[in-house]
Amino acid sequence: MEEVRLETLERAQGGDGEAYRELVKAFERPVHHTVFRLVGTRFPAEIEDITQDIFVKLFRSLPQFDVNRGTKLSSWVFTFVKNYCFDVLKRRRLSTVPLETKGQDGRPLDLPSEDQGPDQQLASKEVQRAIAEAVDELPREQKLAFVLREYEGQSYADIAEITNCSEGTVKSRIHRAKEALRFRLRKLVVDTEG
Amino acid sequence: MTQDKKAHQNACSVTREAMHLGNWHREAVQVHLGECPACVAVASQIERLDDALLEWRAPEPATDLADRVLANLSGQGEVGTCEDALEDLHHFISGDLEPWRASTVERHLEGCQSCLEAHRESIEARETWQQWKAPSPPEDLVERVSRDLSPPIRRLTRRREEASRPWFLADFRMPRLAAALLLMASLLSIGTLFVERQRSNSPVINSRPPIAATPVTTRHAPSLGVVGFYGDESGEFEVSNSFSSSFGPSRGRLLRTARR
Repeated sequence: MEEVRLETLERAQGGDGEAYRELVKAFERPVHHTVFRLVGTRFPAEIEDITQDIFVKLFRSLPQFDVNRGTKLSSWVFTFVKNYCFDVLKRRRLSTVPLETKGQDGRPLDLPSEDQGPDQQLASKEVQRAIAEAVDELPREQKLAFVLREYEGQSYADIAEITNCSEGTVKSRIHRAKEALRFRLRKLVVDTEG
Repeated sequence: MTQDKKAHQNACSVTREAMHLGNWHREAVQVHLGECPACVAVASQIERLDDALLEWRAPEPATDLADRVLANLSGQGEVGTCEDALEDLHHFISGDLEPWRASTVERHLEGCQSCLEAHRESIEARETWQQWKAPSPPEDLVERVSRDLSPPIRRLTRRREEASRPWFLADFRMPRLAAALLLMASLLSIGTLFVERQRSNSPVINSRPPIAATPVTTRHAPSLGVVGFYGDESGEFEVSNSFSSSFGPSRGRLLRTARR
């Protein structure tokens, strides 16, 4: 996640389009990745649209962010993403659809992105799909805490602020999420090793 | 319920509350207990309850509690239970435990095969879910967002510019209809004023041919000094000017009132 200067933030809050463009650039990867992990399993073809909608709505709410309250901008952005994604899941309470293998641009979804180093071992399609399904089956609060911690590197304190609960609760949720994944991915680990 | 009964119930309630709080000594409590057998029975129950509560004693702490605590904090204490170790396992693996707690888990794992197996599985699971890669955002995401936000940003900028101008340079934006109505109303008032003015300046010529255009006087109508009096051979006059337009022609009467 790139840093955003205070001056840029203030200009963006004032409606400066260029300043907001910088803010979008700073957060596009973490927001897109979090949307992918929270709702991408159920709505794979809508990840980009959802990400775009989030940034459009974020612009309108940006004046409400008060830097003097001591909240990090990243925590505020992730709170916004969380609320939007949970709202999507609530409004479209569909049964889990089979994972689609291609996104809007035709690229396979379950292959790593092209900016991975060549020396990194690529996971198979089955592994990606199994992980996505296993994570998607977690209760949403556990899934959120797990995704923010494991993939976005958020601290327990920041996650507690984003999810409006104590650090102890965050740790407990992450522990339960990992324990559930340990059992769900056990077979996958055995199969890939075998 | 009668007033007395209400008062008595109230007194019972107050007395029992005071007894629960230990305020037996209050005069009101003693007085009421002297009058109310029901509250005396309750008082006896409360006393027995208080005695029973005092009997519930907590055990004393172990004499070596402080030593055990310090030993744990310095990593030399007990190895803990499997339940505790499994509870802390994932945080232990990710390095989020306090040092003294991490060493307790480590000591437990050294002596417990099943927890060690769980530890191995947890590490493998962690390595597996870390392989879950998210696709990169589309290259034109920023452009798309900027495109969506262009109209509201333009509106915001225009509003700000208007707000910063002095009031006399403000860009009044009136709906076309309102502007048209205003123009029509203006033209109408100007036209009405013009017509009124014309009417007041040019007198109406009546059907009788004028005999004299200048003020005339007779023994019935001394000079009135009013322009526009026309006389005829009979010596009667008809006033036809602004007076007649307002009040209607009136010969004799008008002449008298118009006299100066």
